[in-house]
Amino acid sequence: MVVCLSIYPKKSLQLYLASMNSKSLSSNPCRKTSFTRRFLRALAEIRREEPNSSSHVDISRRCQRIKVAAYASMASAVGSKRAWSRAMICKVRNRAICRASMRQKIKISKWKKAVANKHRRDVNQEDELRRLVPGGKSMDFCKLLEETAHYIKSLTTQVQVMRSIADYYST
Amino acid sequence: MDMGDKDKFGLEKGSGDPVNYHSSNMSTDWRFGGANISNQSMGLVPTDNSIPVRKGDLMGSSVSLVNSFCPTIWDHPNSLNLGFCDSNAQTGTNTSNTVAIRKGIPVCSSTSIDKALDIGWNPTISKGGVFLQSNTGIIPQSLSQFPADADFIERAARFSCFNAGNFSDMMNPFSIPQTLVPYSKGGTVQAPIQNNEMHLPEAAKEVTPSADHGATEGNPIENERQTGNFMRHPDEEKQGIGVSSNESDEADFSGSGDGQGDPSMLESAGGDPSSSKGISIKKRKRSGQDNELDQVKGAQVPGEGAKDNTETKQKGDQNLTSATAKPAGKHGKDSSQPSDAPKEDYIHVRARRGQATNSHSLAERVRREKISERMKFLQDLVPGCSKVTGKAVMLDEIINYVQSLQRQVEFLSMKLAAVNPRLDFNIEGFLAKDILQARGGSSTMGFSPDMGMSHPQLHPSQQGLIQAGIPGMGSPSDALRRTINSQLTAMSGGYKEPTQLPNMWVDDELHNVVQMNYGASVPFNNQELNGSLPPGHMKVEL
Repeated sequence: MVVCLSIYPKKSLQLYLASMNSKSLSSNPCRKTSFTRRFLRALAEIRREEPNSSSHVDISRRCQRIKVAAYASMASAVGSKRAWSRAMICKVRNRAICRASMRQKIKISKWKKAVANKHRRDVNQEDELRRLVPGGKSMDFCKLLEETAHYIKSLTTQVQVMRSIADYYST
Repeated sequence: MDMGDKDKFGLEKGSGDPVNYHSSNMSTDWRFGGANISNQSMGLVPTDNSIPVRKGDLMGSSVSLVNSFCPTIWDHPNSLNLGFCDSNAQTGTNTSNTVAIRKGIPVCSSTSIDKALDIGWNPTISKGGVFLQSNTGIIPQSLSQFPADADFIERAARFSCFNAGNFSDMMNPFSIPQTLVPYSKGGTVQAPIQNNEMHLPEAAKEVTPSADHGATEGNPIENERQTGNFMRHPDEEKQGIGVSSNESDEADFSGSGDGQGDPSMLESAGGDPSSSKGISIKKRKRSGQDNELDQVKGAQVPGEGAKDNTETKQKGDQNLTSATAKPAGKHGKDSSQPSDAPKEDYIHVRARRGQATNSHSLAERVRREKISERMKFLQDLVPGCSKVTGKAVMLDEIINYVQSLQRQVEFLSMKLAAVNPRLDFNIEGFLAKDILQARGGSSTMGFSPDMGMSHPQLHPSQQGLIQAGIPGMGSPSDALRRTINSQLTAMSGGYKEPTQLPNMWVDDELHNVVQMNYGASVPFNNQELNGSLPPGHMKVEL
């Protein structure tokens, strides 16, 4: 099953990925390549837009954009079949729309809520999970678990791809 | 825990651990019973009563049973010890107790028992805390003190059909492994006998999938036989394990008894015997059809596949939906995703015998079963959670894992932000070079084995720094390092696989980097679990 490193056409790459992810979801390899393509496109766009500065601020801003791009491309690769992907797409869109003005307000309100949570001390696990999984606030627990499982799968794929990209470009 | 040795019992006796104490008590109790004939130390019999209730019942019954044993059993103390040894495998749960009882029952006065013990029951009893041997028909009813947990009942339902075989069938040592086969391995029906027996204790982890697999793939003939036998003992439901009429069931239980089936078997005898058995039998028959829809619909159709079972079910009600939902879920697990909800608009649920028929409680039970199914799926997904039992701990692990994954995404995005933007992002070239399959190449490869061995942090941390620092980049690397420091101190560390890595959560850059990389390697291992290339292959590729 080892595929040697050579220039392969995209189709065989997909086949390889399919064989690799035999036990995961059947659509995983397609999702993986789709995510990779979108993410790379977004990365290229970010690189084009932002100047190649190495200042602390620029890097962190670029990091934020890359992170958003990663989540957005993963959500769109999954599609709208899942509740969490739909919620994430909405979040990204809202974020892009009301970027400048609302963002500060949202940040402040979220910070206040976090402080309140710390004082409350009864944030049980279910609420925590709802907070972590996008769109988890308005789901029953059973659906939440299902979405969590799918979300975990997608996150692992995302991390793998990002790590491979980072390693490829750092070596 | 295959301790087929008398000396081990001696060691067990001496252990001060309460669990071991119990096990040693049990083993010595057995020995005591056998000590009438064999020369074993018998000082622990009176202390058996101090064992907690669930085991105490067993002990009391076991003592009485021991006395009623046929002498032929004790002529072969070695074989008995083999059986006993497994009882020392402590799980400390009710399920283990129930398992042991089941397993012990079929042991009977015949020389073939020894063979059976050697072959089939030693590994299967490994989970049992008590090895209850009973003569035909003298099993007391005090063993039915098992919690009627919902999951327990479901598992019992799944495995009860294992045990519907004949007692004489159990005596055949070669039939036992066959029954064991489908349930020891997840779905391998024709696996060799020895392998299955050895795998039984290990494979006992996930009861439901194996049961389902066994149900789907295996022995329709045995199913029929078991259902037939089950029919013979319809009125034994209420009684505990020890019901004499159920003895054949128990014999079957122990015969088929993989370690997984133990709790369910006893539970079915203790709590919801007939219904669960009926359900399981029904499920087994349905599994032949292997259609979730049919299962759900068939639950409502009385004449559906389990026509024999309807007669056997003396109880009026069975939880058909639970049976259908479970095999549906398991089949779903088999194929793709767990889809416990059938495609119908609503689910027909019937109350189990002795349970509330309130619609709320029924719906609640269905909901609980759904949740437990999802939790099991998540358990497979999150690495290092195979041994975790309990919803709260599992939720903690899930939350930790999701948080660690999100942290990794942040870390990697930061790394990508600082990575040398001089390189062109050649998408096609990237894909063509199979970077995806390389998945991090040598650097992460170096991590995973190190992390797995909880190697000291120097090597991985060095690699981490090299990776993070991207040598040769000058100021970008410094900026990256600063940003990494600021980020990592904010983060509380990477995901810690509970079983492997010791707690190295120190607010230090090196350690954080190490943890991040370890967390990064966790999904790598997860990917491996999903059937991707093993690390060796990865190295070969590179």
